[in-house]
Amino acid sequence: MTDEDRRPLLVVENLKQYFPIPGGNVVKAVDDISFDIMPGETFGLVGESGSGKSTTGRAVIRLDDLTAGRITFDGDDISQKLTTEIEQRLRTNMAMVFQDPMASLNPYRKVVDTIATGLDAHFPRMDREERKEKVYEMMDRVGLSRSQANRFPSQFSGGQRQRVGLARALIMRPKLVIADEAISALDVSIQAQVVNLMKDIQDEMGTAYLFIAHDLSMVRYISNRIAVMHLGHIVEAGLTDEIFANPVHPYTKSLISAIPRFNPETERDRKPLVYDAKELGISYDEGRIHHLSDSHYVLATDEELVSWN
Amino acid sequence: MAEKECILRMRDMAISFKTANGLVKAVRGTDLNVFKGETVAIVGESGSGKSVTVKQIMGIRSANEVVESGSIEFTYIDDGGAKRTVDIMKLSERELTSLKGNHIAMVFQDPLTSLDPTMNIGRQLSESIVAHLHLEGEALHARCVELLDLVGITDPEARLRSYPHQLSGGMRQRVVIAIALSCNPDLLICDEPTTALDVTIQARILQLIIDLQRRMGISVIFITHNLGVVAKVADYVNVMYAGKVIEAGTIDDVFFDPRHPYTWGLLSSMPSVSVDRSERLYTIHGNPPNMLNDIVGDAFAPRNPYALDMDFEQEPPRFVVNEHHWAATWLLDPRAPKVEMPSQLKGRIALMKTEGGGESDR
Amino acid sequence: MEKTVSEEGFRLCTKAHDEVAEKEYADYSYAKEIAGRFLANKGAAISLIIIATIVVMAIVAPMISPYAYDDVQTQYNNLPPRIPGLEQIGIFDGTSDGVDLYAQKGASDQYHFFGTDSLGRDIWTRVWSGTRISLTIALWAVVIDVFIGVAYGLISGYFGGKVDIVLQRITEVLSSIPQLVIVTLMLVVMKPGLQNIIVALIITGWIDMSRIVRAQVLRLKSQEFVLAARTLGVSAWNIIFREILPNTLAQIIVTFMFSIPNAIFLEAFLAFVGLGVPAPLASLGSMINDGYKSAMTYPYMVVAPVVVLAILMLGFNLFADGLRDAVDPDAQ
Repeated sequence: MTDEDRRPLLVVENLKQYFPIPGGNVVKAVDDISFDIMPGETFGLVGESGSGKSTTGRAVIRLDDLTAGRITFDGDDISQKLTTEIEQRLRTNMAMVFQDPMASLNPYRKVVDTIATGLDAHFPRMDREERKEKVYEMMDRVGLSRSQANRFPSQFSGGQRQRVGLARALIMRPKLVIADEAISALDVSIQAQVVNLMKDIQDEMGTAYLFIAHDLSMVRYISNRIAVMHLGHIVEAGLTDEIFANPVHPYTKSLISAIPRFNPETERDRKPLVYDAKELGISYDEGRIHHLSDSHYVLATDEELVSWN
Repeated sequence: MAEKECILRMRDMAISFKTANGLVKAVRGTDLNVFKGETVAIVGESGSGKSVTVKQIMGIRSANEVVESGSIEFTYIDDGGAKRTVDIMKLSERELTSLKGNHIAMVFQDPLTSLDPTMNIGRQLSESIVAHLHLEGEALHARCVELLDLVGITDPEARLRSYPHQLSGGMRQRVVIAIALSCNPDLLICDEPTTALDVTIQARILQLIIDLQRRMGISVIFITHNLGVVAKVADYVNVMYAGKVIEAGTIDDVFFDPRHPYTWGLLSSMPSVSVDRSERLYTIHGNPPNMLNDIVGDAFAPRNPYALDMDFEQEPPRFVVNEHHWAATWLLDPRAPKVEMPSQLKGRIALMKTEGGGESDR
Repeated sequence: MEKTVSEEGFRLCTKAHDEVAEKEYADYSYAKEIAGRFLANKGAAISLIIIATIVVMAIVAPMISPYAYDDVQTQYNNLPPRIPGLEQIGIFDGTSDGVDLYAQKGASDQYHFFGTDSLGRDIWTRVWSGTRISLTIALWAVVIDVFIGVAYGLISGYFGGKVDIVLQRITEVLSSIPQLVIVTLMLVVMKPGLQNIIVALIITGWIDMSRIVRAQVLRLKSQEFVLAARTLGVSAWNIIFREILPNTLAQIIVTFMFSIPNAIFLEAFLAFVGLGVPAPLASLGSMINDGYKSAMTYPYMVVAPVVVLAILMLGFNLFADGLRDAVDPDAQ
């Protein structure tokens, strides 16, 4: 696989997202992170609440302005105020699927119109028949029946609504889809359906995914590479297999340890690892990126790295 | 297990909801047994009716709820030391209130809404103790501190004066558990108590519940949709689908020898860290049924790749697998063709059996 | 209930069972749900009847009445109410203190259901044409206010930032001056007339609506479906009209219904203080103004418009209440 000639689809450099709160303080939701995503790959961004993973997703798709740092998407610098051209390219080549199946669809719009949102925004004069066909095509692809096109969101189940959200995101054939906890609110068996669907679509359309989640086991299943976030920092990142086979950062270890296993014999007495940054004396600001291999890196001070190995 | 005392016996529970669009038959005939000192898990996805079923034990009902049938026999030792059995469905408000807190307690999913934001922790903890155990002053304070300590909250004296919003999610849930256990109930009901918490906190709260259960010998009913959680906490498992329990057995029965295709599907669709990443996740096709409609035959039939013609016509009765394991599927009828669980699941189970003890913790 | 089970039933089902899933989740009607809740509320159902009755009367009664609202017949003035049928039982028989005033004034062939006023005009006709005027004024004022308020709230809420700050300061200033003061001053300057009254009511009536709409917009702005539209490059105006506005309609309609009795009352009050519609036009308020001076001697002159006004306002308030509860039952 000649990856060298392929330039990354998305490059995030030293991203910072600080939000002022009343009282004069700032919340450092994202505090200097860097990563990139290659075309067609799935990059998993994992973390618990307060890790900054969702904020990162919103920054990448420019729902928010950046406090600091640079984001390059498909060759365009999208960090500053967007020109009309760049915005046009951004909005047609990057899309997002949201978490809440209830809130991510307009309850007063038919599903066919919701899915065509992108088409209407960029091709307002598209012929009605053509528009309908494109929507139908998308519905087929995500496993929705065409007969449901004129229904309203309240007439669909949670899993089906997420499929609508996926269809809406994919209709413009974006190069990158950000899935912001897109399956977290679904039942487990439905999660599996949607994840398989996303994988299939990736095989067909070559879409890259930024898969933001807190469920490591599902992330492991779908991602090529994973980055683990905690309190606004990426503490460890690498190929999925590397992270699971050889986690270095204690937080990564505790996260992996917290995944419930399905073997009752072993699970009953297994005590998950506890991570306490204060106890371990870890301060993220002091650490720097250490590359353990081409793809695997950790945020640590030199001493910490030694002690963890 | 047969010698153990059965403290709760629910029979034939059927609950419907009146909505503007018709009658939603949320629970369609559920039985439940809880034995002393055991953890019974109820597993199911949305629409399975697990929450509604269990809320009946606490007498929690919505305005548009209709009880079609059902009895809940609860056995306990009353204040005088005598053993009593009552049907919870037939109790008056007052009788039920004296039972709650004292003998049955519940922990809900969202600690934020379970606690009163305007009262500090100490007051909320005391309320229940005062009502049921009639302690006051020094004794009350000591008991409160003892309880916070029991649930693993550091610096309990200070925490008594804190308000809910000053605590993290995990700590709040610990407080909720403390309140639930404050009067030494016989039965603790947990409705997805860790779902709203972060993954690392989840693991610790689960461990807490297990430790407390072993220490205090209480029985626990645990509702969840996560089989990994079930594997950790449960002695006995009930799998619910579309308002009915479709398979029930000990934890080993259900995990190592599942018989119902829905259970197969559920076990298969959860990605496991020990399974090869490149293998495609097995999924259950389709969506759970709309409970507004009448269900003919097996509710799972439309989504069941192993469905028999029979499944669409008549509801399968319970077929006994062994003395503590049964499944309601026509596949267990002697006349049915021999169908085995999906090979992927078979492989997983084989792997689990070899894992046994000594799994290295990463 | 043991059905004998045949051997064939135990074959693996080969038919595609996807179609069964289709029927699920259909047939859910949001409108039916709201209508159901609304009609289940007794107060709301009654209000529907009240409003319908009054509106029908306001339209039809003056048309079929033998008298016009401005028929001045001073020889027949101050006649008490006389209703055929009821007069046999001894009430509303046109007598006062035992004296048959109709006979006295030579009007034995006339029936005035609500009596006549000091100029001999039929009060029944005037009450219903007055209701027409009151309703017309109220509806015009409220409808225009809705447009202004909704537009104001949408813009202020969605665009935020400096736009919002400026627009909100304006509303704050305007709302700090009592509405009655503004309206009264305006009419003193502009001189009362049907159009001027409507304009005066419009001036401040939109503020509540704009606040409610703005609050809704602020809440909706951060909803995921709006974010989705933004990420797909939908223009701000399209987001406002296609995504946000439909989700505020329920609140807009409820506020609209509540504004009507407000406007009716405001107009009645203006009329009562002498700034109402000019004679010979009548509105409920102006009739109360005319009638109250002789309330002691001829109570029927003021009772009729007061009762109709009260019932009208009660009806609209109950309707709006019922609508709000039907649309948002949790807010109870």
